[in-house]
Amino acid sequence: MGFKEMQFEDLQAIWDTQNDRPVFSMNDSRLAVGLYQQREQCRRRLFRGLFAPAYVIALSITVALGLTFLVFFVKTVTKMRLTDPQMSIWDGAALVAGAGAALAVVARMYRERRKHEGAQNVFAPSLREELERGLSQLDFELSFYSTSRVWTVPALVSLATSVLLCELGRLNGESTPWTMLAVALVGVVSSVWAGLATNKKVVERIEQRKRALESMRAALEENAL
Amino acid sequence: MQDDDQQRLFDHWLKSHRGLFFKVVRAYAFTPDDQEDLFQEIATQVWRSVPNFRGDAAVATWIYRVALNAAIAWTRKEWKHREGKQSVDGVDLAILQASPVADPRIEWLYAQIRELNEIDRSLTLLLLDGFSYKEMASVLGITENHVGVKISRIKVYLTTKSREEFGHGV
Repeated sequence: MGFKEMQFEDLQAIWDTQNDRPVFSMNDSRLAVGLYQQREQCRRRLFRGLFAPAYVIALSITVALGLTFLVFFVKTVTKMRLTDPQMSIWDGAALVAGAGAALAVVARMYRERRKHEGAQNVFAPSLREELERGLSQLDFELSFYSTSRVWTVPALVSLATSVLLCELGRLNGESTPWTMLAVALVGVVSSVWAGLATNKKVVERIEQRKRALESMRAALEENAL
Repeated sequence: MQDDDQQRLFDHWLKSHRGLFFKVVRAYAFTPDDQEDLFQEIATQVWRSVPNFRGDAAVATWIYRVALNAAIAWTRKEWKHREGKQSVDGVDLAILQASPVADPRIEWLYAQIRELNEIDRSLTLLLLDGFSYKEMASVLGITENHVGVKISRIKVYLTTKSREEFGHGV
């Protein structure tokens, strides 16, 4: 094979070899690690921002309701002073219902998180699996921003808070603590309104990330990346 | 254009013209970190440009136009990109690796292209990818005559360099 004078066409031929064998490719393993790190961040953020505060608030309300029940019960049984309020069957039922509402929030969140975490806490063996887990994580996150969830969680927490405030009022000799109930009602309405107002943006952001992962999965299926 | 349509079209472009993205990245960014950064920047700009695409030009020409503009702008404010990387979708799409089996002459060719100024780099990429003078003029906003003059100089530069590197043949 003899040498020939270098022409621009030779450079063109060298350049065109890229079309048959690209000089770059997607690095699947690095991408999987990146997705895993992002999923982990997402899980930590969800726990710190949503689960931990909900657990603390709901459990605190439950403990407060339990203590109120205990104090009310002791005062009713001992009757140390004539002015001491007497716990009726409705007071007892309301305190139990309030504690039940608060515990229902915790129990539901704990059960859902536990079920979800079972499939999430192991490093995915493949990029496809990592994408699936990422999508599942985003679906899980989205479920907390559904309209029904925005109503039910504040409603249950507010019910428990209202009962607590109402019974504390009764314990302090106020027969009809309407002010306490009004404050609690304002709390429910404002928290639901704030929840609905911020939801749209958060859901939009999550949906955008979800679409990106879905398109990567589609590309993977077509073996195009 | 709806978000879904935009995303679908962008995905299609990314799949069918990924070689083009990579070529521009290689020509304008030198280190792997910069290449990832520039890839993200180009992907973002192309994604944003999707609603403006009217089909007057070929898709490849459109993408080249956007990618080259993005690359030139990125080169001028490179320091900015090092501070906060954000991909088009929040996911590091631009995780790339050089193929270990790539032709070493390609590396050399890219090295020579990087020696050129920004505009000549763009012209060289367009020339090597077979664009006409008219298309190059349209992409870069210069006259066809000006393109012709620059192309002649670039051809001379590259062939001279190649002779120095590879002797008198390939």
